[in-house]
This record gives sequence, C-alpha cells and structure tokens, in this order.
Amino acid sequence: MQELILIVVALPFVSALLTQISVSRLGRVGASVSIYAGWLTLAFASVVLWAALTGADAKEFSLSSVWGMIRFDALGTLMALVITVISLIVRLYSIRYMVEETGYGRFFVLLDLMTGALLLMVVAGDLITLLVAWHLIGILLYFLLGFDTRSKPAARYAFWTWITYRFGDLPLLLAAALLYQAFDSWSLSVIFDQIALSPQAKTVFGLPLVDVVGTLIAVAAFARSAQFLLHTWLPYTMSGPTPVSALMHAGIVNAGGFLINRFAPLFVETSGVLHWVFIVGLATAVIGSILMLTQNDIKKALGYSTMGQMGFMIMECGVGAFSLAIFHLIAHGLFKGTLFLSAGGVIGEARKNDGVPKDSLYDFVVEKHPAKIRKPWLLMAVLTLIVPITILFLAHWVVAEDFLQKQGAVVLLFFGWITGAQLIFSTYRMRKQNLGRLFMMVVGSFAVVVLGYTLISHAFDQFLYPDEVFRLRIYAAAGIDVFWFNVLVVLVSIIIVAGWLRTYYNERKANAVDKKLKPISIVFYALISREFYVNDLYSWLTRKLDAIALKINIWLRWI
Amino acid sequence: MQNYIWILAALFLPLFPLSMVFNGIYQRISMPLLRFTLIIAWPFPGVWILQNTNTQLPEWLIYWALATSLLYAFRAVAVKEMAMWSGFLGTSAWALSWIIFIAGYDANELVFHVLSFALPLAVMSLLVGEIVHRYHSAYVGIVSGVAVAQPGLSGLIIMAMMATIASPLFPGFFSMLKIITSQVIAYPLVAVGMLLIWLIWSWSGIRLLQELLVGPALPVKYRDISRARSITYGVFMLLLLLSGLYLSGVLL
Repeated sequence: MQELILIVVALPFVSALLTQISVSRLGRVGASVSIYAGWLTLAFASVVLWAALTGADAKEFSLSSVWGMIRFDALGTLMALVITVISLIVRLYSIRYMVEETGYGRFFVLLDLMTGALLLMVVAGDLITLLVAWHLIGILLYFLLGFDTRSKPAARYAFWTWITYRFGDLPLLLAAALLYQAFDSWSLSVIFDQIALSPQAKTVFGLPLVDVVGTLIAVAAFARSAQFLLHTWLPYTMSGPTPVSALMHAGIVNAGGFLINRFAPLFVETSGVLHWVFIVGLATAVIGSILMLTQNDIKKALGYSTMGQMGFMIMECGVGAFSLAIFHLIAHGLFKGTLFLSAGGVIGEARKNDGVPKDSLYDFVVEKHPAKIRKPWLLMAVLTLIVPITILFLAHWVVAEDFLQKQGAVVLLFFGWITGAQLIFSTYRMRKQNLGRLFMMVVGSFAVVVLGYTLISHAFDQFLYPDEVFRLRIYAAAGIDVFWFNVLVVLVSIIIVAGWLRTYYNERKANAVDKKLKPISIVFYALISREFYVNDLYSWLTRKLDAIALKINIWLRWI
Repeated sequence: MQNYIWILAALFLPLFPLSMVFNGIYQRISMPLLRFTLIIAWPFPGVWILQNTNTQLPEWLIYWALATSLLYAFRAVAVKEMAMWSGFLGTSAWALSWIIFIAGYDANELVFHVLSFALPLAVMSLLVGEIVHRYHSAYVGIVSGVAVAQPGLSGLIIMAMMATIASPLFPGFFSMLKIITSQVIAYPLVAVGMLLIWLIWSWSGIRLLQELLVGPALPVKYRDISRARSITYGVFMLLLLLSGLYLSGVLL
C-alpha cells in the first residue's frame, strides 16, 4: 500500500507531459487530461493517507543510489492530500476562468508541474530531492505569476517572488551541505537517527551543528512563508492569474511551516532557535495584520492577511506547537483559497449591487463610527476578559489536563484570549438594538471555533507525532526559563489590559486621548502607509547596486 | 616557465584581469557558430594544464578565483546585451574551476564543471544568434516582447537560461552543489561566496530574460523558429537535462 506514494508523485509529471501533447493536438479540450489526472492523483493520495491513518509503517523508496528517495510517513501523506485537493480545485476553476487566455495549455502544464514539485517536496526522503523540489517550486511559481507575458507589472512582481525564493533556497542548500559533511549521508532518516543518537556531538565553526543548521532552515522557511523583511513579494503578486493567487496563498506559501515540521527531529535538539522563530513569527503576525487593516486595495489586504497568518503559523512552530502549525496551514489554505477563487464573482456582483446594507454594522465596519448606545461598560469589560479565557481553558481541559505545563500551549491560549476578548470588545462597540442576542451569538461561535480548533489540533498531534515523549521534547525545546516566562506573561497581560482600559476610557471621554495622540497617530499612519519603507529600501538598494555594476563595467570597458 | 604556464591557465580558465581577453574576443565575434565553438573550446586548454601539472598552487588563488567569479557575476547585473552577458557568466562560472582544483579534489570534476556551463552557454549563443538574425540586435533595451512574437524561440531561450543559471535538474545545479558541499567545512567563506554568486546569476539572468521576453510584441513581425530547429534545440536541452541526472550520480 505504501508504494502508492510513488504513483501520487509521478502522476502530475506524467500529466504535464500528456497535457502538453494533447493540447498541441486537440487544442483547449486537451487540458481535460490535466483534470482527469488530478482526480486520479486525489484518489491515490486519499488511499495513501488512509493507509497512514490505519497505522501503516513509515517507509522509504529509493529511485537511485544517491538521491530520489521518496518517503511514506504521516506528514508527507497528509500534505500530499492537501496539495492534491487544492490543486484539483484550482484546475477545475481554471477550466473556464482561463479559457480566453492565450497559452491555455501551457497554464495547465505549469499547474501540473507545480503540483508535482509540491508533492515531491512533501515526500522527499533525502536532502537533494528536497532541494530540487524546493528550487523547482520557486522557478515554476515565477512562470505561473508571470503567465501573462504581455504584462510588465506581472513580470516585475513575479521577479520579486523569484529573487526572494532564491534567497531562501541558499540557506537550505548550505544547511544540506553541512548535514552531509557531518553525517556523510543525504538521507533524512539517517541524518535524524544520527542526530537523535548524539545531538550535540557535531559542531561547526565552534557552534553546535543542530543550532547552525536549524537557523539556516528557519531562514529558508521565513523566505518561503513571507516573514517580515522577506515579505515584500507577497502582497504585490496579485497581477498573476487568480487561480495562481489561490494556489500560492492556499498552498505554496505554507511551505515554511511544512519545512520546520519536516526537520522537527533536528529542531527538537536545538537550543534557542525556536525562540527566534517565535519572535520572527510574532513580528510578522503583528505587522502583517497592521498592514492588512490599512490597505484600501482588497487584494493587497488579502496579501497582508496571508502574511499575518503565516506569521501566526511560524509563531506556532516557535512555541513548539508543530502539528498545530500544520493544521493552521491547512485551514488557512482552504479558507484563503476559497476567498481568492470567489473574489472574481464577488467583484462582478458588487459592480451591479454592492449589497451592503447601510446600517449600524456598516457604519462600524466600513465608516469606523463607534456606537453611541451602550450597555454598562464595566460589566462588558468584565465579560470581555472572563468569557474567552473560560472557554479556552474548558476546551483545552477536555483534551489534556496537564496543558498548562506546556509554555507553548499557554502562549497560544494567551493569543486565543486576546482574540476572543477583542471580538467581544468589537461587539460591544457596535450599535445594535439587540446587543444581548448578538453577544450570545458571538460567544457561541467563539466557543465552537475554539473547541473545534483544540480537538482537531489534538488529533493532528496524535497523528503526526504519536510519540508523546517526542511531543513533550518539542515543547521543551521551545520553552524558556519558568520565571522569565511568567514575568513575560504578566507584563504582556498588563500592557494589553491597560490598552483596553485606555480605549474604554477614551470612548467614555469622547476621544480625548485620541486627540492628544493625533500627531503621533499621523506619523504612525504615514509609516504604515509606506509599508515601513521596506520596499523603498530594497528598491533603493537595487538601484545603487545597478549603478555600481554599471560604473565598474564602464571602468573596465565592458570586457 | 612554470609561472607562464599558470598565467596561460588563468587565461583559459579566466582569472581577472586575464579574463578580459576572453570577453574581448567573444564580444568581437559576431558569427553564432564561431561563438558556439569558442565558448566550448576556450576553457579546455586551462583544464588540460591543471590536469597535467603536479605543482601545489597557493591557497590565495582560491580567493582570487572567487573574487573574479563574484566580479563578473555582479557586472552581469548591469549588462543588457545577451552575448555579453553570456561571456560574463561563462567567466564567472569557469573561474570557480580553480577552487575545485586547489582544494584538492578529483581533476575530472573540472571537466564536468566546465562543461556544465559551457554547453548551455553555447546553446545560448546560437539562440542569441536567432534573435540577432530577426531583430538585428540582442540588446534587451531595443528588443522586447519576444514571448508574444516568437513563443517557440522564447521557450528555448528560457530553457537555456535555466540551465545557465544552474537550475535543477541541469548539470550546473549538481556541479555547484558538489563544490559547495566540498568546501563548506574547509572554506566556509568560499561556500557562502559561491551561494552569493549563484544568487546574483539568478538575479541578472531572470531580469535579462524578462526584459527580452515580456511586453507587447514589437510592430515589426518576424517568424518564429522553425520546427526542425526547435526539435534540434529541444533534444539538445533534453540531453543536457539527462546529463544533469547522470552527473548527480557521478558527483554526489
């Protein structure tokens, strides 16, 4: 049964070849080969995942003596199903969406190749296969984003993606070279076994090998998952075809979370690397969300929303919740893919009738007018703080009584609490006739989401990392000193509660505080409207490098 | 006498400033077939000298070779003429051969490395000839929109470019991977430098490619590449891909 994983990987590549042949002979109808192959791949991927779920042992298949190793395991089979589902949906959507485009057949060939490269990445059993797939994804994404060869903006932003991805390829390559030199093998399972036997035995440049390699892999993951300072390509790649945006936001950009999970046996031995992963993820989540809120272009807002989500996913890895990151990337992939694929329909419908009722909700969400009729604010403040935390604690209590012993779980609870409280706080700010009913609906939805999220992530934990000792070691690798952890939790709690209190107070005093802070707000808004000048900095740097290269060429007479 | 031999080797496996000789000659030739021959033949006298000499070379030559490679990779960023870019990239790639040799690895790897870049660059020189034949120039500021006007030719140029900038599964990818893996412990700075060079190749190559291919077609219409030539080039690229797979088994 495990052998079927080979068919899952091979089918998209075979499909690409057959689609190219059939399109050149039959025209656009020939693209249906890609669809049939997509269904077939999905069927095999489902069988393979079923085998993994029913306890089939992890296994590796070697296609050559040096590389080309395909790995059957829980992570690979789960990701393979996700990729085949999203890829098939995108292909089905593209049949009609792309019908008027020139290069219709080429588009399906590229989609097939991309699917194949993604599948190869998730089931790669050795470093070379992983590197090849990792590089190929960047190349294919460039050609998919720049599919319209007449559009210069599409090519320009595809290039941004290309160069960021290439930048991310290199640390992974360096990590692979270091691992090979240390363990004399390209095989992931051999390397992980050696690391488990003597994790701190190898050093490089006087530092533990696992820490150096872990850092390099994390940087590769950051570039692929658009973490802050390596994010600029993501919001600007909307000039590509919509199905490509859907595929990219739903699948490709999540590769960073996958990569960290794939190297979990290495990260579990690192000291301090996951803390940096957490900090980068946190910064990205916050900055991505801030930038999303300030966009007036809905597609760019979606791009920054993905950036924020990717930050959250990387942050989950940073707190040791590896399997939760996988669940997050799947959930986000399906959610964001749906948003992108329905964007065209929504825009078309909105052109006829925006359908937005100009009521209090509209005033609040679009016009940003706060409500005037309120419930007693003190009661609401207490509810805002207590309700989410109660729901979160109860939900986690169901799956594990000892969850408070894991720092990562506490951090995630903390975020859940803030999110829930913010949601209830926003409800309070709405001017509604029946606020009580709305409030109950919000609390009910929140409870369902939290309970579902907790239960499903628990199930993912059991499936991806069945060894409980290993799971605890991941949390331990992400943990910090208990005293400082508690200090941080208290400090951040105080800051957040103080922020909320300030907002309540401000609204009660007719925005008095806001008026005092207006000059600072304007400066801050200018900063975020220029997206923290990161793009400007990169553009300036590129121009400077270009100018220097030009000067050298002139000095050396172009020879 | 020994010194003259090394200078001769540095001329053919170009080290700066002797690298200017190769680029000067290459740019003065306009016939595609002559360029094809030159780009394949030029590095081999250098390879022959290195393979047949037993003298230990000084270690600083590794850094000199790296600096030459970096210099030409960086200079290629500002180049807009396809043939000139090919010459610069060849210089940048071949200079790395010295690193393989001085670090004390199998001299046969030199041949693989040199061919990994010479073959795609040679194909590129023929394809540049096809562009010049149609547009009377291969300067990307003047020629653009080739993907719309000549999709077949564009596809081949893309393949050649991918092979030239050492993308997988072309031989250059495995050759670069091999050198970096070999040097990462003994010469970590060299390994990092090589990664930087690889990144710059990608930067300049793709930028050049998209300036040539993207945009509306020029008003003057020229025919696409013939089917027979397309197949010939396609088979050659396929062979290059297969040789990359073979090389991965030999080198790694």
